[in-house]
Amino acid sequence: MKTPGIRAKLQQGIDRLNAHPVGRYVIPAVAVLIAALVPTFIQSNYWIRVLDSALIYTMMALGLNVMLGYTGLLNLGYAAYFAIGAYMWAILGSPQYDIHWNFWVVFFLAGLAAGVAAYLLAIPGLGLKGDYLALVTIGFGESIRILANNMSLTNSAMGITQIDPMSFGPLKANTVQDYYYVLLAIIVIMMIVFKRMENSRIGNAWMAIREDEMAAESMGVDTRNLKLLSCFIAAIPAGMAGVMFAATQTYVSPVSFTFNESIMIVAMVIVGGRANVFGVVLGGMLLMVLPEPLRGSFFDSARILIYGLLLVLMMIFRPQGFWPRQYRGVKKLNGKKVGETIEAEPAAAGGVQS
Amino acid sequence: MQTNGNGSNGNGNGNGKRGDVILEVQNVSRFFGALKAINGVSFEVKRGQVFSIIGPNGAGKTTMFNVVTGIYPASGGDVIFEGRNLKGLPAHKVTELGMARTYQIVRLFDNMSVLENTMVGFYCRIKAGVWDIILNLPRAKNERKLAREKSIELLERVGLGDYKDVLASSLPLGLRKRLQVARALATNPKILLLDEPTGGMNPSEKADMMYLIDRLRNDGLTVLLVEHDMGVIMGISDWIVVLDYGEKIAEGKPAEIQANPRVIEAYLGRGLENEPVTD
Repeated sequence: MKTPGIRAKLQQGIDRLNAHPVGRYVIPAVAVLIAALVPTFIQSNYWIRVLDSALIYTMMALGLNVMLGYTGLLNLGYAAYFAIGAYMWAILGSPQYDIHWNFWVVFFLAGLAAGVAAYLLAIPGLGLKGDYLALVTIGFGESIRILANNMSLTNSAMGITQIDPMSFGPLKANTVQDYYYVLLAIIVIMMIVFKRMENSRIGNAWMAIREDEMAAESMGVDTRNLKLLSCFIAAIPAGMAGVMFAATQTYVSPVSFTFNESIMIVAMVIVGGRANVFGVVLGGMLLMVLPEPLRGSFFDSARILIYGLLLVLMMIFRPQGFWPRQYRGVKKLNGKKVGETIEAEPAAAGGVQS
Repeated sequence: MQTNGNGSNGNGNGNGKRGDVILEVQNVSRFFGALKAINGVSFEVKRGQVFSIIGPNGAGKTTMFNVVTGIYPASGGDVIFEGRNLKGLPAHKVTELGMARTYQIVRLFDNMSVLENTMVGFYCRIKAGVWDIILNLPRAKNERKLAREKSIELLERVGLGDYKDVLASSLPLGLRKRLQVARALATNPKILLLDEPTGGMNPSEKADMMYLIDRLRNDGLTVLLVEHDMGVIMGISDWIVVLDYGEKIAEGKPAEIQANPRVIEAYLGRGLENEPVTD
C-alpha cells in the first residue's frame, strides 16, 4: 500500500499478460507440463502418494467451490458425497461381493449418484438459510458415515478390502505414478470446465445469488433452480474423487469420511481463495502437502494444532484467501482512477449470507 | 438474443402503442398481520409514461413495488401486466415478462465487477445451458459476447463506461444508483420501476438521473417511480398517484397534485386548529 506506483505498474503488467495469448495459453500449458514432469524429479513413491491424495482432495475442493465459492452455500457434510463414491467402487469393484465392474463406468456413475444425493438433500434443505443449511449438511454427512459404519452392505466398521485398482480395459494401474498422471489430467479438465462455468451466465447468476439472493431473483434469475443445479454439480467431483480414493487405497472404511474431512475441504476453498479455480487448486495442494513434513517428527502430535493456528492467522491477515478473484478498484471518486487491485472481500465469515 | 417485443435493448415499447394501458393495479391490498400496508389501491399505467407514486413515509410505496414485482404476494386484488394476471408468478418470471426494478437501499452484487453486475441482468434473455457452457459451443460463446457488448453499451449509456472492471462495492453512491438502473435495463424491460432513484444524491447527480429518466421515456420505456424529492417528481412525471396510510388519496397531473388540499394535508399535517383534542 505504501508504493501504489509499483503495485499499479505490476497490476498493469499482469492485466496485459492475461489479455495476451502467452498469458492465456502458453503459461498454463507450461505449468501443466511442469506438473506432468514432477514424477521424474521426485523419485520417492511416498511423495507421489502424498501428491495423489492431495489431487484427490483438490478435486473435491474444486467441486465444493461451486457451492461455497460461487453460490455462497456452506456445506459442512461434503465428505458424505466422497463416501458415496468410495463405497460405490468398493462394492462394485472388489471381491467383497465378487462384482468387478468397469472402473470408468463406476467413476461416472458415482459422480452422478453423489450429484443426485446432493440434489435430493437440497430440495428440502434450500428452504433454510445460512447456518441452518450448514447444520442440515452436517447431519447428512454424519448420517452417511454412521450408515456406512452399521450396514452390512458396507461391511460396517471393518470396511471393504482388496478393492480393484484403476484400469483401462485390460491395462491395470499398478504404480502411484499412474494415478498421478490420471489425477492430473482430471484436475486440468475440471479446471477448464469450472473456469468456463465461472465466466458464464450460470456462473454470474450463482455469484449474484451469493451476493444478494433477493436482488438476483428480481433480476430474472431463477434462484431456486440455480441453487439446486449448484448443489448437483458441486457433488459430482466428490463422487468421482471417492472412486479414485477407493482405488488408490484399495481399502475403504468409515473413518475416512468424518466431519474432519468435510472441514478440511471447506478450509481448502477458503484458504485458497473462493470463487477462483486457481486459488482453490492452490489451497487444496497447500493444505494437503504442507503438513506432510511434520509427520513422524517431533511436531507430529502438534500437526493439527499448527494447522489450526495457520487457519486463524490466515483469517486475521488475509480473510479473502491467498488467490481470490480480482477486480480493479477505483481509488479517487471523480473520474481519476488508479489501476489498483481490489480483492473481493468475503461476504461473511462462512461465505454465507442469511 | 431473445427479446420481448422489439429487438433493441431498453427500447421496450413491445407490441403495444404509446398510450395503451401497460400495467393495471386493481384493488390491490397487502396486509402484514393487522397492519394494512396497502388497502384497496387501483391505478393504471400507460405505455411511455413516467408514472410516479408519492406519499409520506410509511404510505406503502415500496410495498406496492414489492407486490407489483412479485416479491410479496398481494393479500387481495390483481396486478395485470399487458393483459396478463401476475398472480402467483415468482419474481424472476415477472422480470422475464418485462418488468425490472431498482431498490431504494441500493442492492448490488458487491463482490462482482460492474460489468458482471450488468451481465446478470441478461440471464433471463440468453439461454445457453450447462453443456453449451462446458463444451464452449457457439451458442454459449456468441450469446456471451453479445451480452458483454450490450452490457458495455448500457454502462456507457448511464455513464459507467470507464468503470466496467471495477468492483461494484467500491463505487460511490451516485454511481451505485446508476449501476442499479443499468442492471435493470439489461433485463430488457418494458416497464422500469425505480424506487427513490435520487435518494441521497447531490443536486448535480439528481439532475443527471432526471436526464437519464427523461431519455429512457423518449426511447419509449414506461417508468414507474417512487420518489420523495418533489423537485424531481414535479419535473418529470406525466401522472402522479398519492398514497397515504396505504390508501390512494389523489391522482392526477403534477399541477393538479400540487394544488390538491388532501395531498397538502397528508404532507404538511392538518393545522393545529383542526387537531382532534385528546388527553
